[in-house]
Amino acid sequence: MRLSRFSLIGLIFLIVLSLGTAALAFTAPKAEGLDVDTVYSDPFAYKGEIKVRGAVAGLEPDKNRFLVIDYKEYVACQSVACPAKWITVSASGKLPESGKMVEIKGAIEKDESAKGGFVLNASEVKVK
Amino acid sequence: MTRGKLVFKNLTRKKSRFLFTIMGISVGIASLVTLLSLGTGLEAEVKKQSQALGAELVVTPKGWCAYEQISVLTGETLPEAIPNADVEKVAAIKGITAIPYLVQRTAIKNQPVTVVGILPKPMKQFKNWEIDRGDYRLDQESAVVGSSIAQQFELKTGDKVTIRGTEFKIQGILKEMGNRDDLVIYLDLATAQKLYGVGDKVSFIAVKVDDVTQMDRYSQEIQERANVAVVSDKQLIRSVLAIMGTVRNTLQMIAAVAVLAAAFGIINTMLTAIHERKREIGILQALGAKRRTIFSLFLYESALYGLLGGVLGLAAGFALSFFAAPYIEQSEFTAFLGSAQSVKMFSPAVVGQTMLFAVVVACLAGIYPALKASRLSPVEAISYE
Repeated sequence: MRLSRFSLIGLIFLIVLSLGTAALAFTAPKAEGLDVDTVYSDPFAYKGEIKVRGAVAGLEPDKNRFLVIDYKEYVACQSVACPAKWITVSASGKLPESGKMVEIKGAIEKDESAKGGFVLNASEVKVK
Repeated sequence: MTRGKLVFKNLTRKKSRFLFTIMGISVGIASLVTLLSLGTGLEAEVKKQSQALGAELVVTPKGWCAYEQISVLTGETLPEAIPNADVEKVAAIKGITAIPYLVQRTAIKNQPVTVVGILPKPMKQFKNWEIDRGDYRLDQESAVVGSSIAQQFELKTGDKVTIRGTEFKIQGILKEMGNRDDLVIYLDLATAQKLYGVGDKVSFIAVKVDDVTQMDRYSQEIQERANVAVVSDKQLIRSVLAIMGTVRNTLQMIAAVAVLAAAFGIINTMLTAIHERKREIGILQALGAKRRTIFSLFLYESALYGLLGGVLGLAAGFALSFFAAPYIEQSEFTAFLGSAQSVKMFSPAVVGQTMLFAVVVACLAGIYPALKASRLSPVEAISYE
């Protein structure tokens, strides 16, 4: 007996759906980009626009800035209080809430008033 | 017609039903294989990285959390908190070799690269490194790089790399070690401490002991002499595997449920097949087939579903593992991978376990339908229209 066209389409759909769902479940990252601790070590080694991921640990609304800590460290420790390193992000518009995961696109700029002597001047902030 | 041929003919009589049932078990098995193979690969990788560290004890600052302990194996940036004075106190203990590490990061072409500050001579002896090109010289102007870094960024001896605004000449390239050492730029410890502004502090100390039976004594002595914590290589592996294990067990449970759902699919298919072939069963009984024969025929059909579904599931699972591997580096639980390609995906143990699981589940699913078929009365079966 030959397979009907309907069965064949259904079968292919099922395979794609099952494998696709499984692949998404196993691989979907929560946030992408360079880690805060990585960039903090040598910020001026990064030229032009970079993407950084992290967790919002504090806000400086008067300066339109917020602080991000390392994504992996935040996930493992579940606290924004413990890390000793963070990046100051200068952003326009509404600042993300504390504790949110963010992906930031921007460039590193010198700023002696910020921790480490630099800020990440954001062109885009995506809350995950 | 042989029993095998009869089973296969019956199985493929309704092709679309056969394919959908096979698909059910294949998808369940594929998800199980993906998790098992990635899990096995990651476990092997953790052990490999721990062996590469070459230490029986790791001296860390007090109060480090599990994440920081894991980072010893991953090469992530680590807080620098052990002063040189403590390094000297540890190194002075008889029967141990203490090697301090300062782990930092830089970037080449916007790609993060690990920088490790080391004591050149003791480290070379400790790791049994060999130089592939150039000289093994680390000072205020010179660095040595691992083979993978040299390959990735097309670096040659004499080239320069800029770390925190200071240029270093690549004096030598190490021979390939097949571990994280290949992915590092090495600087002289004092130079790295000055460059990163960490004073006289290091991230951790790797300790090799002369007598492994005295590990507890060494550990106690180190903690008495210096204000530090000590973790053994086995404890380090255990804490990494414990974090991984929790996640893996949950996912494997989900995959096992998928296989269970497929088993119900097999029961359903077999019951439908028995209903359609009642008359055939009756004829077999009239020809002298025993209950045992009819039971085994249906059980074989069920087992064959498991076998074929298992084979297809294995292939799909390994393919899925291959495509998933490049993404798992981004997980905080799997960051210790040297590279995506280092995940060992094919394992004979996984193949064996999965095939056995698929066939056993399919056989169990086939028992009830096979019993039902074997208990049909010949009169009822043969008179079925």
